[in-house]
Amino acid sequence: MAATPTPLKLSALHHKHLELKAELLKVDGWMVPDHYPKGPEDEVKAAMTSLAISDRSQLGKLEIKGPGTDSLLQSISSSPGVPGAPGEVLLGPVLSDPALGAAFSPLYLCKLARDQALLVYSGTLPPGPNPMDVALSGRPVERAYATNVTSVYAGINLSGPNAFEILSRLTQVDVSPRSFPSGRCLQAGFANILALLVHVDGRYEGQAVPSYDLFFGREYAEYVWDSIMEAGDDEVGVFPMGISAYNRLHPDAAKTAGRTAGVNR
Amino acid sequence: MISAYEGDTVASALYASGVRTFSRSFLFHRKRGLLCVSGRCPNCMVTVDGVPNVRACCEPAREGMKVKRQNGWPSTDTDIFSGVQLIERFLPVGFYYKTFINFPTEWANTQPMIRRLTGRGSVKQELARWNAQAASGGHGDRFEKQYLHPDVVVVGGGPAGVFAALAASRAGASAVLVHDQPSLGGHLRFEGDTVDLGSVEGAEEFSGMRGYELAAKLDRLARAEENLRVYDNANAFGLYESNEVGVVQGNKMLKLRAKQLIISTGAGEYLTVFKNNDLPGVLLGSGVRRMLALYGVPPGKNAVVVTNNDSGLSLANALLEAGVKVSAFADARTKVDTSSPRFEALRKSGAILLTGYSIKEAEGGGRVTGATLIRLDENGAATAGTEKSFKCDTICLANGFEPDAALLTQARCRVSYDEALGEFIPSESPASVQTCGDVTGIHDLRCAFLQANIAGLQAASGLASATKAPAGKLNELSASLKSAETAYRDRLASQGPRPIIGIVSEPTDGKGRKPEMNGFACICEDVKEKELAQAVEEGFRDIEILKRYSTLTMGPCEGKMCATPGVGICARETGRSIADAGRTVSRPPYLPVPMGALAGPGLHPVKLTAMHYKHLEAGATLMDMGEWKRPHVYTSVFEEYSAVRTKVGIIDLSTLGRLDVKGRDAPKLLDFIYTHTMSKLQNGKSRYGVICDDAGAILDDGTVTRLGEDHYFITTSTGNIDFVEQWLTWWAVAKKWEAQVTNLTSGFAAVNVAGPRARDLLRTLTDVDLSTEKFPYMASGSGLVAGVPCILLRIGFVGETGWEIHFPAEYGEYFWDRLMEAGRPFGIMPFGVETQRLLRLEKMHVIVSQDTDALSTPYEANMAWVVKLDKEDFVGKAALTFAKDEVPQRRLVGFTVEGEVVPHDGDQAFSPDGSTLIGVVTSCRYSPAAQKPVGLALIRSDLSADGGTFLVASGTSKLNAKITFVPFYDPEGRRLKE
Ligand code: FES
Repeated sequence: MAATPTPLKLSALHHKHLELKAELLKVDGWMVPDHYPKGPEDEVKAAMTSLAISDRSQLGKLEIKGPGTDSLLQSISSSPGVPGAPGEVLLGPVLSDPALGAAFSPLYLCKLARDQALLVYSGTLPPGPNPMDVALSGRPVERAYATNVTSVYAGINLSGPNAFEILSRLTQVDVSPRSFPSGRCLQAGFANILALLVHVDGRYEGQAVPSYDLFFGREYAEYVWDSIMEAGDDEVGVFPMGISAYNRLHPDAAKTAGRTAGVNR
Repeated sequence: MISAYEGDTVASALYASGVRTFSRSFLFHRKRGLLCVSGRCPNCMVTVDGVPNVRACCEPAREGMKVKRQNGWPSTDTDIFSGVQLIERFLPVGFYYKTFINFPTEWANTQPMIRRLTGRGSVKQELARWNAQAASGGHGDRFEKQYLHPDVVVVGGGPAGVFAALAASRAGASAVLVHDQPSLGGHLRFEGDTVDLGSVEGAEEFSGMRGYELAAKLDRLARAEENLRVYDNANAFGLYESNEVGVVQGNKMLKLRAKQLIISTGAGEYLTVFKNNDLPGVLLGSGVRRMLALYGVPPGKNAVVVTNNDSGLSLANALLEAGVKVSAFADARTKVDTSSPRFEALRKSGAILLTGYSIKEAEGGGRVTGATLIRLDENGAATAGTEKSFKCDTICLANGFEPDAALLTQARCRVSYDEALGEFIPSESPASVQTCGDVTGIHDLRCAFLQANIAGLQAASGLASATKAPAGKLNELSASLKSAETAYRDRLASQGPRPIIGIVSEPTDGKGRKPEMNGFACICEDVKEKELAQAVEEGFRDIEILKRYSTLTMGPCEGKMCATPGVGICARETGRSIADAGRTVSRPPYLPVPMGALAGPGLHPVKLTAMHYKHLEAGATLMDMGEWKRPHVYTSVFEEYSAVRTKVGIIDLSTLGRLDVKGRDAPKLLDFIYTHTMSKLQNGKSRYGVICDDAGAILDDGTVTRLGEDHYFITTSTGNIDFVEQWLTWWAVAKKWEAQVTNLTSGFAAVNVAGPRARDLLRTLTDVDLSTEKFPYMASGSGLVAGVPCILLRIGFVGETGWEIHFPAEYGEYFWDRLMEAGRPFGIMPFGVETQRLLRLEKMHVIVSQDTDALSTPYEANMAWVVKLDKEDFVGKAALTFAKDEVPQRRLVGFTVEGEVVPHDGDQAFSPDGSTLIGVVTSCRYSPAAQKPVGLALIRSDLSADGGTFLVASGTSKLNAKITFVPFYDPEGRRLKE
């Protein structure tokens, strides 16, 4: 066998980024848009006045299921609030095992149901013998099953004051900030497919930025991106945003995001 | 070419430039002009920029728009079809029900002609425009949907609606107000009188200004209110389950799920039935007010005003102010006090004032040239011999209002007739519905203000987010309302009875001759008064049945012009009171809604595999497989086929369904679901598996790979993944087994690398031992290939040495590139679905649901070997145990035919003598290996003996098919296992 270069990870939106002439950057082995031709300044402005759309597929996602879910969550994090109640999003849970923390840093924990949770993180979990296995250190918890679903879900973030306007054009569920405030998640039909919506507001110059992460089957990524872009119109513009502007609006996420290589082109 | 002012509608611009005929009527092709000027009648429907049936009086005039009048040939002004009136007696009421009932063939011939004669505009142009836009890469018209869940939805933008919306949102509720006008304020927008709302708390803010000033203020306030969203030019067209209000705003559809609904849809004037009541020049009073106040367009030079309520007098004065002469003013009431300054002004202008009078006939040919008025007796009946004629070019009808009650009935409010008010009003409402304003039958601004505030506070009161109204506030408002309403009713009573409910009945001449009854009860469908009378005579006495029989209220006005006159006629003809005659029920949608708005944006999900762009690069033609796009063929089936059989080929299998099953009961679950025994599968081994239903019919097939003691990896067919996931999950829950099913389909990409050189190729990319000893047929393994973590399954769907490789999808393009690069020296070619179908057919490998149907058992499909009846219970065991010893009805057989003609999938199979249909060809291709067409067919099992024959009817040929059960390629499966 010949030596092989490090394999390249591409998001399902990669060709959208190429089409939009994005400047790419390598994050955790993934090619991610740093910014689009108008530049990060403009992208921040778009997010602050209307709506910015970003690819967040590179985020790590770990699904935990089974009757032992809560015990497993408590065994990996001692943060107050863990394991949480269904529909809750716990921000930045701290890992009990520092060795594990070296590999990845959790962004938030979505409690999807009584015995189901999704941990969203940046970084890379140590792989198990099979691609979707995970090696969580510590004692194995009985009747809790963890699966690395990073590859399963594509992720899109919508940030900006018009987020609700666009979401309400694509989902029948009540996503108004009153019923679905920051810190909540829900699974709902979105543009005729099933998606997980996570509401975690960002912050820019002391001001809250409405911000939603959407996770859905990877194969739908281009379709969902197009549906969102087409749901926008003259009054409610939707603009692509790279990770550079994204990190300015989401300082908490930026803190944990590991930049591992330079600009690609 | 017509010029327009800012704020003009298409109708106002056309009218100002002299156009009087806006359309031709549906059946008789009579000229029709503006009537309601508020989008409530059928008369002004035109085609705007190719979109038919746009109401000209509501459509803002825009630079360069193309407006075409519809229905009339060669033109709306000169219409040769207007001769239809001459054959009127052949078009009786209930025409559609009785004319062709015995001659269905006649109907088939006549229907197209009727279509040509009737109808409203044409969608042909619209379609042409669509197609043109689609061809140029555009998306045609853009339709949009939005779903909102406000606390309170207010329908109606008149003063009551705005007051209510303000009250609710100021109390902390999130509110949405929808109304069908460009600006808020309703009729106040053209009211010049000073408003006095009385001395109620909160009213000061709005009192003391002129009507139109208050309208402007309300508009401003509503838009500034933080908790309130206003949708202009938006029509609420129906109320559905759970207080869901359907709203259409141009091409946008809103679905509003309201916790509380406030209905303030107001009231509208309707048509009065008398002879020639449809002539252009006959207008509703409120329409005339709009023309004067909103567009500054006087309806004519010389008017006759006919009324039975107070609105007629202000209308007459408004006409005078606009410089229109009022020749005559007829008020049907006898006790009106005619000494007021307004009457004085009329008198001074030279108008003849008549009380106790109404209208008998509009005179004129194509438009109004005069009016004949007639005296009514104390019962409201016209008295012969009291006629007075006046010259005029405009007749203004202000003969009463009908609450816009459609939403009320849909909201399950009880609507009943109020004798004193002369209107159908809401008498009881469910707790989640409030009403206020003119829709309650009380046409009084003070009352509206109080009702609206009560409605707003009440709607907000039950909400967690709202501030509680101070105790006593509601009581105080209710008390004020009670006295204001009493005052209003007393004033009405003092004016004497208000005759005319939608109709001025013709006087009888005393000689027993029947009155003509030629007035139009329904102008949408051209139904005359006499036809309703005839229908009642025929026995259609109930208002709902009368409606269906005569089509009354079923046209585009949805009863707004004709419901009340219809009830009036029905009551008179059946000798009942209006209350007893009742009214028809309105069902959603009660307004026309564009189909596109209902359908919404074209959200058709598309799935792309992680290698999609690689296929495009390689020039693949794509095919749809469910939502997936898959390569059908890259170069040619023959080239791709040869590569796989002689070198190495690669196919994208990412669309296969994949499930991860974990948990201590996973082996039990899989034993129960699959007909095979999966608990005995060794770690690192794969097995082909079939899932059956309780009747033993095949549901799906795929592979099961054991990754660990309690851990399996399953593949399913592309289309069945969602089903299999649900099936497994459902059974795990039902059996209380601990098995977690996770759908990993999206997470993996997969390829099948197959062909005699497959092993050589893969060896350049991986250290996994691929030798036959270490990695035999049906084994599985995992490891790095080209640096990518993979699951490898040695499976041979196409009949060659090969590995199905599953790996994280983000590596898709990278992995594909590495394989193609490394495969070049071995002659690698990508192959598509079509080539794969041929390759597997040569091996007689079955595609479930192509070669089987919803009834096929494994026995029929020659797969007895997958059924293990010696294990504990599993889904389908009972049926399969029984089926095992039975001769199956059908059997899947292989066959060959001689000659050039290749039968098609789906061709029919006949018995050898051609007399009996015995089954169907499920798959057939030309086989390069067998050098002839080969296929699979599902046929009667008594005719399925090995070596037997049957006939295939393909197109015009009858082909002789020879049955075989030996695969057409590598029958021993040596290449597969090499
Ligand atoms: S005049 Fe336009 S709808 Fe009646």
